[in-house]
Amino acid sequence: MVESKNFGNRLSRFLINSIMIALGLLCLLPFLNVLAFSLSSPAAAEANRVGFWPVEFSLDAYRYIMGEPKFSQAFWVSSQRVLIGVTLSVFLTLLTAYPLSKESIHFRPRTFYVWFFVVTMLFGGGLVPMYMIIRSYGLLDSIWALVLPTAVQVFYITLMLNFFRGLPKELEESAFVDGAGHWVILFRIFLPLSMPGLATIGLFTLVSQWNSWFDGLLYMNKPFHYPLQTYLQTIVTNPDMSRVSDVREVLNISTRTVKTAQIFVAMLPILIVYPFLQRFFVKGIVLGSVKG
Amino acid sequence: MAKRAGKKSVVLLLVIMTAAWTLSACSKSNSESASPSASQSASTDKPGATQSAAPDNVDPLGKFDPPITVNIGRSVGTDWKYASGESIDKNRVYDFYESGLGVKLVNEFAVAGDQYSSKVNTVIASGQIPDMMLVDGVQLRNLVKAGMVEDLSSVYDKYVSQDTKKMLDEDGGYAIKSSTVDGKLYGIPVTTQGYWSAMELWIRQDWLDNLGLQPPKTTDELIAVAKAFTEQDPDKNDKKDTFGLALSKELMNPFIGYFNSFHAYPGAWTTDSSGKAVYGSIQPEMKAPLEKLAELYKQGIIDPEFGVKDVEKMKESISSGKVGMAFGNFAFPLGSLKQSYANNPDAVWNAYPMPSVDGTPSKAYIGSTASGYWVVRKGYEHPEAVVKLANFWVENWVTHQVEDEKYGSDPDTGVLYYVYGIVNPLAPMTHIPEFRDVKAALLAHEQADKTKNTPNVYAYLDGINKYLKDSKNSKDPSIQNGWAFNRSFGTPKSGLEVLDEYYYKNNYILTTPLKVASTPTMAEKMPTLKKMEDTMIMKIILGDEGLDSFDQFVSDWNKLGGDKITEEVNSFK
Repeated sequence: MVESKNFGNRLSRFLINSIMIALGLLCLLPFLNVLAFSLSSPAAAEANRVGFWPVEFSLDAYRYIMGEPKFSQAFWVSSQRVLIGVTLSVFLTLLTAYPLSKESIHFRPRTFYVWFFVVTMLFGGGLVPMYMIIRSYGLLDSIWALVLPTAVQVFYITLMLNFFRGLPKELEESAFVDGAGHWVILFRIFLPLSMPGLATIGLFTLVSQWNSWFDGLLYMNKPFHYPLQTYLQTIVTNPDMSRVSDVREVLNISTRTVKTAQIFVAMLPILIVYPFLQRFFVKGIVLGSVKG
Repeated sequence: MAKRAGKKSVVLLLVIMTAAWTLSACSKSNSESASPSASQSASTDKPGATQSAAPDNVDPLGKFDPPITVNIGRSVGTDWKYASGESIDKNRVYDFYESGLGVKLVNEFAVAGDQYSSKVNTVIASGQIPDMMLVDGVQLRNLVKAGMVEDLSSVYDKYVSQDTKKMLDEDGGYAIKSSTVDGKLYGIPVTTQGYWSAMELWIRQDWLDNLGLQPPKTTDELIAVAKAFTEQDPDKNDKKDTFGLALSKELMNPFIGYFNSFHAYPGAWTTDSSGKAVYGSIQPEMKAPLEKLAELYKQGIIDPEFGVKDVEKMKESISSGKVGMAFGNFAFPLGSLKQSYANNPDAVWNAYPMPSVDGTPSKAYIGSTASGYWVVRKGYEHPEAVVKLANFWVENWVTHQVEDEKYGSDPDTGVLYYVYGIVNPLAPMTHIPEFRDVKAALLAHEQADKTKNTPNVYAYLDGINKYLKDSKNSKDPSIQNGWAFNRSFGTPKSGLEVLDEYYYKNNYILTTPLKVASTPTMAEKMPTLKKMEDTMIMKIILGDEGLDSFDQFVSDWNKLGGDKITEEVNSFK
């Protein structure tokens, strides 16, 4: 690529760069603000005197949440959920996408199954029927209520299916000639080749499992079964003071610094994992779409 | 060929879906037909059970033997603390219920306050409710209509203890009436204090003194003080960065106190001259304060950004020392003003009665005394358990407070155990006698005394004394609490002092004429009407619309269901 030196090009480069920097700052500054709040003294935080730098630096909020069993409990539930959820989701997506990636001639009921999945994408039962299903399976208040309902996502199947279709047919055919069955082909040939796709799905599930809160609120009956985001939702919504009717309870309402500290710690795992998976992510999603 | 196969499989899919749907419908009707028979068998068991218990042996606190298990749905607080090894499922209070009353409590769900109501709605919609649960007024009516809850009239009359009955009736029968539908009692009300809605005017006394002003007695003086606070630099920092009156976009407490000063009671039900219950927001008294607010807004005396500031943002302005006056209830220092002291140990907040627009003193509004209802599932074998639980609560946490160290609270760690209790009504006047004790002790310079004081009074008094000893150390949380206790419970010019020695003593109070928590049309239409009301108020204050839109609002309000609500409210009186 030739670097052109004329004014117009330099101007547009400058403009693009400044827009990108501005967008980057837009994403970064809220993080800094939350971090600064969590490291300030409660008095300064309540008076909104904190910008992007802590005022009256204090680690009390972090000390408090480390000793707060509710937070660590919720963190543990979320970790479990991510671990089970991602493993299960990736595994099931793999198993479903493989047969569906075959032509109808090789796999006759393919069209039926595709329709079967598409229908679930278009229609849902709604909140109360969903709750009743979960309840009648006896899943209420268990970690499975959080992972099973979203374990198989049609969108991920489509993604994986297109990824498989993009792999050279010859690989599969030569494996057949050498006497390999479908299981061998899937796990020995397709699986190692589709790491970018799997990483993409893994990342999607990881983020959505980590971030979803409403199912926790709906299916979990006890506060200590809440995943982290549900727990955070309960603490960041301001208690309705007109309904609090106990004087000593009013005093125990947690301060803004504690809230922000918990929010910040809850963001960390995703912040740490994301950069490592991102290179797959970009590759995976493009590969799937272009060749499919 | 491929197309035909596709068509075939679509048909097949439809067939399967229909079949699945029919099957699920069948199994549903099965379970439905099964559940009434189950409840029938339960209800046929019941007479036998009550017969076997000797009728003369009705002990309100009698222990269940053998112990019974009760599945409950309850709310919890997000900020509740637990001693190590305890949780809401297993704690000393639940153990106490089991050992003292023979009731083993199992939480079917325990959800935090704000989400509790939607959880209960989901559970009600799904058709299976726990043996006992806490519901609100609308849910109570829905449950009664659906026939899902037990009539408690007879067990209440039979098992209620003297103390419990006295406490539940102390509010003039409001709470019990609001749990009654068609003459039958369907829930045990959780009574609370009605004076949480009684507004007072909280003022920065140091600002008043700086400017040499007197606390306002009339609304004109109120506006003059607000003006001075905005323009004359009351905090002496040579910057025009303050304003007079705190307001938030929610049009809630801070606003209500302002309107009350003009004898207007938005959002509340009051009694008109003919003794009829009427809705405060549509009364002509609303006009004068609205007009005045629009004027103040134009002059920049109220926060020009109040329209986008929620209560949290309003608290920020208070905490950072930008506001000199705010309307709030007696507990306002605990939740909102405390941080103002934390940021500035010289901030002095004093409570004054609301000013008045004319010679007639403004009256404080005393609201509903029932914060929720404990209902019992239809067909549950031991409906009397709910009454006994209430008796047990009143006996051990309200009347006698036995073993407070064990079941009340831990003063060292700040863990409150009593909050885990269920079916827990409180005395409608709780804080007034507590305040009198605290004040007497403060005036006599007495220290807190565990043997003499009730646990609450001890906590307040101890905190206040800690604060008085080291009043400039406003960074210490326990001293901040002491400051807040002093402003709510202490003297002089504390929140309860105004409530007890001004409003109650002079009988400047207005009680709610409502005898029900909610009526059918209220449940359905009120949210829309409230939204309409808020928009109208906001538009008039911001000057987008003139006062005429108030008259328009009144007629719209009546047309869109308000008429019917008023009618229903009066029919329940």
